Amino acid sequence: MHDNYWDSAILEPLRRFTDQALNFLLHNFLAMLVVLLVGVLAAYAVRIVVSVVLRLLGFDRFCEKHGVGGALAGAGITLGPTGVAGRVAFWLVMMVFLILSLAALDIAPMNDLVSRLFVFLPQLLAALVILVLGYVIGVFLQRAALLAAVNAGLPRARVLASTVHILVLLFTVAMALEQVGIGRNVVLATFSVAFGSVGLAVALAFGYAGRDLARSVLERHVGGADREGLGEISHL
Amino acid sequence: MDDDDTAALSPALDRIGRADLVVGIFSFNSARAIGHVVEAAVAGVSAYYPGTSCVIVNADGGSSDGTPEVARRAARDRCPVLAVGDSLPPSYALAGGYAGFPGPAGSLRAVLQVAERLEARACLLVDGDVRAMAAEWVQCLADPVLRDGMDFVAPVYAGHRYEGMLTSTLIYPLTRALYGRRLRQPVGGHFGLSGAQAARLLRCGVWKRDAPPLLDLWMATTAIADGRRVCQAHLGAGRGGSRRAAAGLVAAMTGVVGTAFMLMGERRPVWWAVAATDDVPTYGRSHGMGLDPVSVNVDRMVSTFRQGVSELMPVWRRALDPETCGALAALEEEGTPEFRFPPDLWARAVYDCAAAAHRRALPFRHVLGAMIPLYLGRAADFVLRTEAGGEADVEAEIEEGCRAFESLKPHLLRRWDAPRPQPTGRSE
Repeated sequence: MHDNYWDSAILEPLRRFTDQALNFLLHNFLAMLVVLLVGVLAAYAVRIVVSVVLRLLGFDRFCEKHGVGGALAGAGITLGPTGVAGRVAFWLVMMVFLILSLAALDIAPMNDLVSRLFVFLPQLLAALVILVLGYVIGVFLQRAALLAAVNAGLPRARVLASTVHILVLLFTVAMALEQVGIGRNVVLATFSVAFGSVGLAVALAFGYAGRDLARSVLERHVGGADREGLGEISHL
Repeated sequence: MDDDDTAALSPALDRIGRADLVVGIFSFNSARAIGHVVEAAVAGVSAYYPGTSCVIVNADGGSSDGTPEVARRAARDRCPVLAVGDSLPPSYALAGGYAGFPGPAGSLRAVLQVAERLEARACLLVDGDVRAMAAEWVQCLADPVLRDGMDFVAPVYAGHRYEGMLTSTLIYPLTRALYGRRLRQPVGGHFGLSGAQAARLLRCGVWKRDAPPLLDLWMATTAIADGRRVCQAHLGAGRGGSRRAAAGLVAAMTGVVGTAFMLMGERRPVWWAVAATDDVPTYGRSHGMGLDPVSVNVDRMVSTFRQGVSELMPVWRRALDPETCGALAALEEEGTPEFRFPPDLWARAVYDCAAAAHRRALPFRHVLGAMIPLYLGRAADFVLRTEAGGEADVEAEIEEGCRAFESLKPHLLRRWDAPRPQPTGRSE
């Protein structure tokens, strides 16, 4: 009676668990590792192929010609357009194999997660693209605002430029979050209220406190002569 | 843009057959000035080239004030007046927003096509807004072509000492150092071309571009770089009234300097090998320089330069040599009366910016925008050094600037293909 109880209550479950664990390790986990390894190799192969093909096609020259290289450099990305494309291709392939490796584990809750990840992947990619583009555009507009403000002699040009940058980033993050469906309404409402508030604050500040400044700016820009306040000097 | 902008004029051109001289007058709402300009052109032809067949081509950019009618009436049947035209860019109509040649590319091409079709020996290009045009200008621009076989005649305008500051401190020294010809004012609104040069310009690919360069600087650079016979002629005060004289600094910088940098990229094999400069033949007598005191806000220039040093340094670091950045930073502390922006530092900065634009270290327009405080610093120094001097002092200052550009040309050659500077990590 005592032996039966020991067998059925302790040893049998332990044996089943050991069998399952060994089975899991030898099949599912090993399969996951193999998928991951294949994924790394495939990702590297894709990265090399993409880099070589783009180099042969003169992708760097094309991007330089159209200002993309400069925009990347301006945003602090030093890899060059081909390098960036290679890395993006690498991580895209890696992401697919990472999800496949999770599927290889064959765990019921994980299978559900994997299928949802596959559905979610395009939205995630779109959000990433939005974030990257937003960052590049934000840096471009920040610099453009800084140059325009300094050349117009506006005080605190850097603050103005940083404000432009932050607004673009906020807008980008709101778009990216909307893309992945996180707090869609809350994000949009918050962004709309924040953007509208800033606009209203600027309008009120300009209208009440800066009427004279506004008049002089408009007079300089529309009035014709001596718009820059430099006196009787002509450039051409 | 169609290949032939003069198709509608074919019957008139067939009737005329041939003409020795074609005068293209560019206008846009120029009714108040164009009558005088046409009168001066007709008077100049009859006074200096009697018996010569001449055709006036009014290239109008879509005036709403009856400019073409005024031009036709002013000719009073003494000379055929043909009307061609291409719509102007919207910026032309805005106050001070246009720094280009007084007419769009389509209009210039139409005038050149008329000159080619009529087998003209000379083609004059004239700004219809400049009331100062005198009959003698026809002779000044046409004589070098008709009598001496020149291909391209550029204007030399007289004016007060601070007229054409960007031309004096940047365009002239840069063009001279690059291409080796001392053409004092490569940008302007009055030019003379030989018939052959007009035909050559028509064969260039510039007409097919979506964004053509500024046409006067392009014409001058093309003539010099192609080794044509280039000269200049003193005209007198010719900037007054022209729209480009009122062009804002941003428009001037992006238009003219942008074109100069763009042409540097296209003409590299030519200027790379040029090591010396020589004078071009100059016609007419100098009308002198206006030395009456003029009001220039030097404090504003210096303060914009200082603001550039304090706020734009991270942007400049992407475009300029570290040594140039260091030298600029050292200028920040000086008070206005002692402020100096040496010509050699200015030349280095311009060359760095040209190389940065070529290497796309920054977007093209950002490079040009980043140059504005630098230019104002150099202009302030120019004014401070010459305000008490005479014409010789002003000319000496311009010459010193030119020498700096010439002596530092090896710096440009080193920087032109240098690798893109890596970001330093400091935020802009």
